[in-house]
Amino acid sequence: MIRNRGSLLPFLAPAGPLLLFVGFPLLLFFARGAGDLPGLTADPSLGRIYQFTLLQAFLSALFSVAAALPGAWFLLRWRITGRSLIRSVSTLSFLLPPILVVLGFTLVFGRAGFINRGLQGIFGLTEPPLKILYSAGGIILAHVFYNFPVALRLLTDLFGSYPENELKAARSLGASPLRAFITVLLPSLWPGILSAFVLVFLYCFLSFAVVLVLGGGPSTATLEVELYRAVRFGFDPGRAASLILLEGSVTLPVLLLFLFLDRRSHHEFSPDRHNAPLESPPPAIKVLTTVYFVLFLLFFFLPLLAIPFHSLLVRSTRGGSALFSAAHYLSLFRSAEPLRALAVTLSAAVVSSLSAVALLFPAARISALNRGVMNGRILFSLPLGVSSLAVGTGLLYLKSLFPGTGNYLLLVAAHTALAIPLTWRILEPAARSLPASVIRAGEVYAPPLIRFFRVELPLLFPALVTALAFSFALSAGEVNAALLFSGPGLPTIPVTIYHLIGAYRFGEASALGTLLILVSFGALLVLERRDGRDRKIISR
Amino acid sequence: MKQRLTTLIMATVLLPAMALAGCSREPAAKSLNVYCYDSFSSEWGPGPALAAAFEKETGIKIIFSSPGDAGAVLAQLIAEKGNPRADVVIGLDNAQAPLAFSENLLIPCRAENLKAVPADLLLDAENRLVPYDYGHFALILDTDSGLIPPASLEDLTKPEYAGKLILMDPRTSSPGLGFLLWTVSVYGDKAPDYWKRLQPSVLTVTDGWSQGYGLMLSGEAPLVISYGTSPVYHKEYEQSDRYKALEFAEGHMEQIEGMGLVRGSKKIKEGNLFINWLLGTEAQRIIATANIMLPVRPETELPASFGSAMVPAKRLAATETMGGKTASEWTDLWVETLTGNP
Repeated sequence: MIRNRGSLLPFLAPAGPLLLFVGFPLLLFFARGAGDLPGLTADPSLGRIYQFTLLQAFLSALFSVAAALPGAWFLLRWRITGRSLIRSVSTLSFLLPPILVVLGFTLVFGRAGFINRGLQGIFGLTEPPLKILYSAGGIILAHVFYNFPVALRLLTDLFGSYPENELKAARSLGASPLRAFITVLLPSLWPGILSAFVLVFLYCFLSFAVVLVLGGGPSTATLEVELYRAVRFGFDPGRAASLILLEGSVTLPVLLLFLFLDRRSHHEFSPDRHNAPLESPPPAIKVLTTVYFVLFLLFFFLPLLAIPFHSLLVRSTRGGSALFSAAHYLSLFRSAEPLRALAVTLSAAVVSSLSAVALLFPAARISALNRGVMNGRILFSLPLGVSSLAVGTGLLYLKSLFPGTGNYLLLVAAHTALAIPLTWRILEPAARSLPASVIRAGEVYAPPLIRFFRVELPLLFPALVTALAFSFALSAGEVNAALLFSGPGLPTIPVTIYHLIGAYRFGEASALGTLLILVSFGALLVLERRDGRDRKIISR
Repeated sequence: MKQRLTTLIMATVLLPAMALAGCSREPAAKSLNVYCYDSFSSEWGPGPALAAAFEKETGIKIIFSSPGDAGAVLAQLIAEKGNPRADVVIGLDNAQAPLAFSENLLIPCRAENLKAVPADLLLDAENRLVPYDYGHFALILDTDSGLIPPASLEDLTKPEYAGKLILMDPRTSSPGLGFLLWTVSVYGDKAPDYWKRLQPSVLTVTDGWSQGYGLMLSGEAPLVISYGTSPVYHKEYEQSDRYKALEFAEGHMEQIEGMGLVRGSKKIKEGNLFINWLLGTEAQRIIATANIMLPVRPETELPASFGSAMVPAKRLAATETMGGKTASEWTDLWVETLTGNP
């Protein structure tokens, strides 16, 4: 399919960091464990953990996509005020270290959370009425909180043109609304649904115990918990390697099935997709939309708002009332580490997200021109099926090859590699859905730079923004590689937050989390605004 | 668009350069590479103050390196076996000691100050791992809850404590493993029966101390497994005695944190010097107050807030095999017992 040797290069460039920071560590890891792969079948509790891991991942993916579908429809079909706010908020949950998400979540939904305390105050109850957390429902709620945003963005970004005319035609030919939805609208949503479902499934399947805290454990632990134990507590490389193979026996078939289905389902954006300006919704839809997005904001904003709230709350002595002050912020900035962490985190996140996008853009173009290219799509997606804990442990071996304590370049390169699979999953389908005729016309009529800035960049801008936003968030919130490569002189924010909490300083950790939210939220809002403006330029 | 991109790129190149400039130091004449868990060398841990004081006294520079928690430190030492980058390791505890010994990672230390350390705190006869601080696993009670304090492990199974207790997973957290071995040393073979009876009292099992303690602080449950010294923080920095460590009739499991010389290091003399210095009273005070643990030198002068620490009358010690099973086998049994009937 690839026409000449020159077009192989775009696929090799991103493969480099992937091989160095994902493939090579895994190989080093396996080299130690492959000698003695014990049979895992004799372990009955492992069977139950396996089943549970599978079930919770499936349900979380199902609920995340189901919850995002109406939102995607509202956003695609109607003009909605606060669109960029909604899109920015939804990326934030990705950004925060899980410990703060858990704290924020319990401050709102927990036994002593705002909702329970409010209800108890109103109805004079002695026991908290809302008991959703610390049950299997709590896990799914937390996973939806984490993954619903990915689902919503993939659904809207990978959507073809809204088939207004086709829908009207179907209805006028006598199709019921349901039939019209299934035969006309669903096929347009299909690539987004598929991508979102598989991504969320893989994330949840490989998720660690942090979110499962809300499920009440230990009957709600995943395979990753057993893997953690094998690599960190028992140091049993053989068992660890077996567990990775066991995980791979689920994630690899899922990935391959997905790539197969995805290849068959591609369809083009119509070139005039941006031309039709969105209409204001009719009153009934407006009410529904408002209810949906108010619930959305309550669900996402409240736990995030709980963190700034917590950062201003100063614990009182026994019996006294709660006090609010900036004391945590003042004490935070008496130390040097937080500001340095802010600088390191932001710069690493910006550089790694830009690098990931820049590395993948040429490959995405090729993929857009050669619809059948599978090579890169498989290669770049494979890390999605591998445990980050396994890669992190392999990185320990890799790190022992490099001298020194902290290394900024290694940190950025590792984050770039980690961002590649997700960036690719967002960028490639978007590029593939561009009309090849437009790209070819650009190739003929415009020099490369002009072509890039005038044609390809504007057309891909929404997907680029999503890719940048998520890889930014991924880097800013990442802990494993950050711990390994940061070292005492080069901390990142999640690492510093754990340092603070390790020293009992929960209030200062919330203050630092608040700063991360504010800075990132600002950056995301600017990006989203730009996105909106560029759309208007194209539509002219 | 292009201008903004240029600004963005400029900023992203300058920021890391500034960050790097901030931490580039000229190499000292003599230095020691020290591996530790990351919170030890953070700004709020004892690391920076110890390094500064030691360098001032001896001229030897301490370079800390931390791949993550104590489990990651051990994993990294095993990964580098034969070609170590560390001279000294700080932060392996008594639960990790058997693995560190069987992997042959450490060589015996010589430290004069060890004579002043009580014999019951020593981790091995050859001093491959030397204790620097210790503490006891204990339940912390939020006294604002109005709960009647339980007085024993057995009390915790009473119906009045239903959903009031936060535990940690022994597969991923050292207080979690500490609690598990505590119940084993008290109940022996009957421990699985105790875990089942305890289950209604457990609100949730977190993967690490941070989540568990955080949930307790935000009021989700009034009881959490932590350390007997935890109230010291609240006393020292919040002037509060709201959180109390409970002393239980059955006694308390001990955690001893140790340090050692890494096999293959070429700086044995300097390493011994550092380890001996860390057992001096000044270093012991820095470690105890920043780590909020008890110093191994009993005569160390401590702030008044340490009066709120619970030091149990009866101390329990984990042995390598308890009731014929290793810690790992007990953990398996724990998983088996508690995932059996979800």
